[in-house]
Amino acid sequence: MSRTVTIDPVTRIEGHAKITVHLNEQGGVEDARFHVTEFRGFEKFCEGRSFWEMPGITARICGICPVSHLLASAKAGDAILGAQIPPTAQKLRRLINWAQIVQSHALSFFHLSGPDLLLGMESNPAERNVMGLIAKHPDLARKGIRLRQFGQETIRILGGRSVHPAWSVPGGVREPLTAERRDQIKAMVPESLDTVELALDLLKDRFDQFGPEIQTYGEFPSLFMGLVTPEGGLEHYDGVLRIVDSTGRVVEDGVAPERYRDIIAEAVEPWSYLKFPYYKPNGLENGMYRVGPLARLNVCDFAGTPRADRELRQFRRLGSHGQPVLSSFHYHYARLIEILFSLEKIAETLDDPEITNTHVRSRAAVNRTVGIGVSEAPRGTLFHEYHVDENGILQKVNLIIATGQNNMAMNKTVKQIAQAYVSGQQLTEGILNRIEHGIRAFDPCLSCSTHAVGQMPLHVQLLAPGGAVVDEIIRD
Amino acid sequence: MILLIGYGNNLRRDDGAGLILAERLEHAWRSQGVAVKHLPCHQLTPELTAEIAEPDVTAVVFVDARAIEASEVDPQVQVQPLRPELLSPSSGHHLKPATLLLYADRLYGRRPSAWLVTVPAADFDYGEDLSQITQQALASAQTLPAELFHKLFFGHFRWNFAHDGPAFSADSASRLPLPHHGDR
Repeated sequence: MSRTVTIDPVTRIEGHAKITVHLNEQGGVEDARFHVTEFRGFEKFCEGRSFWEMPGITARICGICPVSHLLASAKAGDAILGAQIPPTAQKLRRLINWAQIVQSHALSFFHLSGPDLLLGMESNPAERNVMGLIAKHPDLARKGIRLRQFGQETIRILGGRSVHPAWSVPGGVREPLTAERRDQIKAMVPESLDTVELALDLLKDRFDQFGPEIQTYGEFPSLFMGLVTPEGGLEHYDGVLRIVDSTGRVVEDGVAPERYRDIIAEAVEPWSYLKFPYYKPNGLENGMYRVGPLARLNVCDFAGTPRADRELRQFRRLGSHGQPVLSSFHYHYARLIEILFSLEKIAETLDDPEITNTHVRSRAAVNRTVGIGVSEAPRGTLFHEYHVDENGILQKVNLIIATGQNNMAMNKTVKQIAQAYVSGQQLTEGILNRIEHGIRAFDPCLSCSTHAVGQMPLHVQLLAPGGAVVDEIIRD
Repeated sequence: MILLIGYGNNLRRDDGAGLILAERLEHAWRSQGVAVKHLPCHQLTPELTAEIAEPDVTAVVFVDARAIEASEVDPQVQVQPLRPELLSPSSGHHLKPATLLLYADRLYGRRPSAWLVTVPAADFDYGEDLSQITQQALASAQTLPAELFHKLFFGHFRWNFAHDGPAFSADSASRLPLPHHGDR
């Protein structure tokens, strides 16, 4: 008898989703799906508001990555104004973006995926959580908290508050950075660098233990997309779009971000509230691409800072014959490299004498009725597209969230893991955790993707092909 | 010092009620000369553990909205003591207050007294206004700052009602702007 196994909700990710595994008559995995079960709504909610309000509104989509929305929104506003923001404002926006990457990636590694990576996928489920990590590696747990504090404190120093800072606005930023505050941030960098170097060593030491996982957690060909600098370097704030395929061949290069619709389209499926962006020239069937840390390191030619470039060279060796790194398991490694890069860039930018310049905002009125803002959020490329009337009132909003662009890849990863580990009538908690971990490797932010916050108990259902409930488990 | 953590999303109507009430508690306590550090949040995250573990924190007060049960008659603001406890089975970004307390205990050996204040909430749709239920509950919580303070410090401080801050009333149930982080 065929069965459907459901993991609902997936734990230790941001937001709420369930996974259904469809077994065939022989007990093999026929299909697996990653369902996002939250409603989308921000796009409609924003219609009728002024574009000036959008940074403050969209920052409240998510409590984990508000800065990402703040920046993409402000950039869309810059485009509506037709304004060139002052150079110091751009540097300050970059600073807050890197701080956001540090805090978000630190949360993903130390708090969400750390228990699996550092305690083992098949370790006792009662201990394979943050408390288990605290018990076994208390110093590391404290360092992880401090690393996140660095990111949050830097965001607070720059933006006035660490959650929903209303500091980045169309035209620039509201407040410059004083020398005293610059030095406050600078003083915290060395400790943070030590922590991420420690985490890198811990993770790389464990690669041997995760051979099977590396082979089955999203190890498949796909396109990769990200921003790069005009010279091809790692980029998180500006630059141009680049897409490479799984052999490393550059498929699209130098695409101005505001022309993203030339290469990206969106599909919908009835069983998920998440949209499915795909590379348009290849069509939906063959247009899957990945974004985020793994993709960014695959599309760039170099990082541009010494420690990150050192790690990038090692990272590249994980790819076959110099080709892109395909396993989604290595999102974890890519995240740590990006923390390293961000810390180095923060230190470098703080040494720029222009960073305390007080001219940080350009003033203008509505000059264009369409504004598109693009930046790299911790999870991947983020697009904000606003259509306004002559008074700047929003007529239409389209948001393509980073996690949404990984939607097809996450589905394929779940299926791949399920096919490798699920068979017959034997299901273990460890297998279910592996499937969940496949999702966690992408560090999805489902509240962003579907613009809602919700709660539901853990409810696992085993469904017959016709939908009848064969078995169910509720975990409190 | 009281560490006050109000959390929620004030673009999801009643979900922001905890932020509003925390703002009012801060104003009321500061008017009495009480040392308060207020950290408004969208959701509870691990680094709050370090804040809880600060040596000068003697009490922690979490303030949140709570979805009302269908059976609840005349829902009001509720106050309950907290103890360190692992409530989130595997933890996510949405941590529970008791779990943060447990982290503070295990990582830093700190266990300040802790309380959870919840505001009844009925409407979590997109918007910035509060439902009638939530507005009424907030308006009825006039004596909450004094009562809660007494719970925190067992009556070793005489509340000076002549120095009370703005009254809680239905008229003042409108949203206040989110404050900056409290002073150290």
